[in-house]
Amino acid sequence: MKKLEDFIVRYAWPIFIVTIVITIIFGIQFRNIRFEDDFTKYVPESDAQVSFYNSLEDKFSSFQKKSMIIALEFDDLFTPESLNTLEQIVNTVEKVSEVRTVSALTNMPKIIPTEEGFNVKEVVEILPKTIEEAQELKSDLQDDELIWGKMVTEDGKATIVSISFFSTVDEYKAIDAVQKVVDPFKGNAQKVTYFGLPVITREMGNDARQTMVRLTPLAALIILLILYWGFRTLQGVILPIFVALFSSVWILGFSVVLNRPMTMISAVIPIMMVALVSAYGVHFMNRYYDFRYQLNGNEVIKSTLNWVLVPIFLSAITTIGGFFSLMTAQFKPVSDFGLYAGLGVFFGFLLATFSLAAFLTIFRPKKAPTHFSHVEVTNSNSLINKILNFIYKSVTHNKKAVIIVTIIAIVILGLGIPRINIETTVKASMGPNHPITILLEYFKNRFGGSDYNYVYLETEDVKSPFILREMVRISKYSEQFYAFKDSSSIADFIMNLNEAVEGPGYKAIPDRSDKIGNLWLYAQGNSYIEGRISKDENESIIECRAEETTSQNLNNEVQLMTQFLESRPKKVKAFPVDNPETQKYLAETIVKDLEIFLNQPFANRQDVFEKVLTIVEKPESDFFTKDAEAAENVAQGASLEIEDLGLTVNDVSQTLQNWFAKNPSIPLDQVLIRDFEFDEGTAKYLADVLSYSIEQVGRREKMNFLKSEVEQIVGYPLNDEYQFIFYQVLDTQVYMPDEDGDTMVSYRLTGSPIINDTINSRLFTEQQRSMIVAFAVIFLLVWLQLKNFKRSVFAYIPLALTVYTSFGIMGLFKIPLNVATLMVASIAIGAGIDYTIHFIYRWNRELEIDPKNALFNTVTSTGRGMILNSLAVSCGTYVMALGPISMMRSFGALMATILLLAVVYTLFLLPLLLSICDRKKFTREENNNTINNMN
Amino acid sequence: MKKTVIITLVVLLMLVFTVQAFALTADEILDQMEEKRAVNTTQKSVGKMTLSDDKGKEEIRDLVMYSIDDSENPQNRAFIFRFLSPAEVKNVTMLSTKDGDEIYLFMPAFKKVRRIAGSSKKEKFAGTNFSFGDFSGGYSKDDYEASLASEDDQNYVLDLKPNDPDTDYSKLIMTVDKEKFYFKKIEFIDLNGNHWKVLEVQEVQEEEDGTITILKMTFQDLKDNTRSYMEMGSVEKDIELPKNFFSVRTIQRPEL
Repeated sequence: MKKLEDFIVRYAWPIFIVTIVITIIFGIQFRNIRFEDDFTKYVPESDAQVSFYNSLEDKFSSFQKKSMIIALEFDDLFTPESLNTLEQIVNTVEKVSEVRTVSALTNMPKIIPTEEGFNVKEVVEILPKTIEEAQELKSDLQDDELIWGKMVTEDGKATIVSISFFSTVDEYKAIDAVQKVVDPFKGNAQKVTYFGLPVITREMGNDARQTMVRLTPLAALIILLILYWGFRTLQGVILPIFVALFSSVWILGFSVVLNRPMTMISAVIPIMMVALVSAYGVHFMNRYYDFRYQLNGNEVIKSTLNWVLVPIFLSAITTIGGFFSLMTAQFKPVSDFGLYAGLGVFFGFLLATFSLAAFLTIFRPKKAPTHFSHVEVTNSNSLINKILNFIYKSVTHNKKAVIIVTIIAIVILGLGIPRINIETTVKASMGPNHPITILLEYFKNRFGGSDYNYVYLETEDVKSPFILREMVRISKYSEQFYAFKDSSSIADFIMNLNEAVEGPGYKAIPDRSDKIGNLWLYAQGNSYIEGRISKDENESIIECRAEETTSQNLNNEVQLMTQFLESRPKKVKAFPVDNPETQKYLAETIVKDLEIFLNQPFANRQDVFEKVLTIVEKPESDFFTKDAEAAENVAQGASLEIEDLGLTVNDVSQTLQNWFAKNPSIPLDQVLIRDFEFDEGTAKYLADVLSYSIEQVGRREKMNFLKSEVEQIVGYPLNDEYQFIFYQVLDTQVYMPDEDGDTMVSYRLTGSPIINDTINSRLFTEQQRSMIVAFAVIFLLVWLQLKNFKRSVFAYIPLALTVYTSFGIMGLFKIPLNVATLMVASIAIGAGIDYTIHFIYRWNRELEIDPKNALFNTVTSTGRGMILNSLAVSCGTYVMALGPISMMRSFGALMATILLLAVVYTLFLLPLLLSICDRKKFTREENNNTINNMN
Repeated sequence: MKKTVIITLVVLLMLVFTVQAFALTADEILDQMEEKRAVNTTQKSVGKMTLSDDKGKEEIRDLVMYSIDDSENPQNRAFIFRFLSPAEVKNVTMLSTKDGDEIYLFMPAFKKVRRIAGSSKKEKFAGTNFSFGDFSGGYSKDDYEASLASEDDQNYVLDLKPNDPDTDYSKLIMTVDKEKFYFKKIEFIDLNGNHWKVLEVQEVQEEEDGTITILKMTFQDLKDNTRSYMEMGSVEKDIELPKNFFSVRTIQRPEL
């Protein structure tokens, strides 16, 4: 130690110059500081959930990982002018090189039924040119679940354009590029709003920068004032602050050298350094002024170093240990914070000892404040001295009161701990009035949300009827959840196509692969479809709009969805519906689907099942009534073929009516030969066509019969979406679970809200781990210092209480546990141990020198530094409560309170606890005359 | 000497004008191409189509085509296009009659014929890059305002502006073989002036009567990066087809 003291004094100038040079070098790096707050990078990319989520971007071009949304508000979207504006914007955005896909109203597929067929176009191909056409388009789109309520608001005034970027682009630049090209084409849009993760992270970055730039000087000013109140000298004020500011500069510059971006969390580092590291300067100056009365020349510095270097070093080591323990966290902002804060404390130690000592050697103050003598403490009326006296009296004369108050506090705080709430939603983190929260609320209110969750499925062929039907069922089931609303998938498009082919009332998934194969001809090449299936057509996604909800609710919904997916059949085989077993299974499937769609089980389930089964068992022909209406429907169903033969629908309808009524036993082809003078071949051809049409009419009647029976059961009419269920009564095959099944499927949930939920569920685990590590590391360090296990345990009690208090306060005052407040306990351990170490170290040395006055000297000298420091720390940390982000305000207020309480626990409890360990020494002091004199 | 120079100049000038007189105009080139098409005949072609999507996935479909052409009465033009494989598209059949004004699609799984909007010649057919209009073939001067953009020893390059106001194209750039008068390549330019599609002929067959039959061609969509390649294995001309062959009834038959 002596050699080190001599070294610092001898090389004061070089040390001082090196300090200045390093500060300048790191200071220059400030211009290169980067901010980033992409929450998807909170967990390592190797994390299974994150890597799976990222992999979907390569499989599905519609997957919105790197993406943004533009919301356009009009007085009325459905005017030629508004739609033209939309089309121009879409065309312009598509040309931006960073853009991969654009999904908008204008390029959504639209199936347009025609008189005897249909057409599949993109909406843009039928853009209306008149108001009437526009309003017609509007009413047409209102029936399209892919569009209305999802892409277009319910009031028809606003629409969104979803843009996905290539995976390699810089999202910030991509968003800027899009904004730049869109702005000139706003046209008659009343409002254009941009949204996406980069928009959020950019705003967060701005907030982080603001926090640093605005609040750091404020924290410094507050600390200056407190230190002046304590020291009453300029050097006593400025020097500890400079130690802290320099350590901030060093650590910020170092982050640039490491090429690691700062985050919203690590942006508070400068404030933390000002608050924590200034303590080392305070302790140094405190002891220096002590020795100024007793010693001269360089002996002052050497003695100061002799007394404070070790405790500052030990304190720094334990604080660094506390911060570095955060590096075990899986969350990058937290682990980065731990690294930066730990390094900052280390730099602070160097600056507060080597650099400060060198400075005071070179620029020795002419005098020291008089109120630092112990005599002055006893006689002084200054506030801080009164506080010190009160503390001393309490720990010597009012021990019982101290213990009782402590126990009461423990009990009250204990009530808060079970109420701790984990909350990481953006609204909870940012606050209700933050611009990001307002933006989220806008999208939630107008479009149902701005984020997406996905149900991923993997199978042999996504075009399998079973798979497509499962997609519909999952979509319907998920509608009840905030996190999985407004689902859409390729199944929706297939149902629309089927209706276009088979006719109104058939918005459903066919039961046969060949039918879907035929429909798929129109799905191929469509960007909506192609974006939602993988290259090999064995993977697909169901896209669900996610409304923001509480973490707990999200967790519950994810669990319920997972349970539902687990309950679905995973391995099935097709069996013909031609025996009682398969008919029963089909009836059961229909009843289950009704329960999913109605979102409630049937009270009289067995009755419903029996009714459905009765209908399933009957052939379609039983439902065909040979009347005029049926004849008309049959003829209409064969209108193309009829007209191709030069006949009219009316003629054939009449013939059929007569046939039904009079001669149903005569073969139809004979009737046609008789009535239309066809040759045999032509008559047989038309008879086959009409026979098939008769079957189709029978099928429709069977379906309608089931519908009316179910509507009677539920007591109200059921809308078109139930066609999916009623259509199944016509199935010729069912897909039943079978070990030898040839259709297999697996499901997985993902999405940025899901990942958020994963973060939630890991928060506690991470917190426990970090704390345990911090506890263990710091305890070992304390034990090494004290070299006595029992003493180490007792010394640790105030610290443990500090941590306990932090959780209690969180629970009692409903401060949510999130990424920021998670760190309070770990920081409290590292920072709080500082007080314990300084107190014990001073106590031990006083016992060797002046055992009679050891406690008094320790409390009034080290205690002064501790109080000044904790006040400065707390007030400096409270400054964060002025920040723009709710999460950081909570963090600042909590941290400041805990650090204040840490010094209270140390000064009031530690003497009591040490008195048990050092009973003989303490008893001797209690009997000495100093106390009698004070009384 | 002076006289010789003048006579030489006059002869040269006459030669230039003569050459100009014999140079073909764009309309004439299109007329020549029409003549080279197999007209007034029935034709049966069997081949295959390879579809490549933007992910590089390929699908091969076997097909058969029947067509009838009537240069004097284009309304009699018709064709039937049927996929033979793979299973999910087997017997999906398209019928175009009245020179593309009426288009029908037979979906065998549904046993239904559906009329596809007759005016939608622009629509892509069954996931291919070919539109219904492309199958009806022919780029006649009646449908385009043609101009000769350039020529070299082997090719004419024509600019064709569609007369149809509803077209998706602002222009077609057609490269025509100078000797055989068939299009080697057609570049389709969209309404914003961007290259959109490219139709390229890889192989043709010259018949005894001098008409040209396209055997291999590729249609590429540059915007969505998809490609359709059609290759005809056999082409039979002047085949006998029953009356009313090109009808809704025919396309519903299991065998054509």
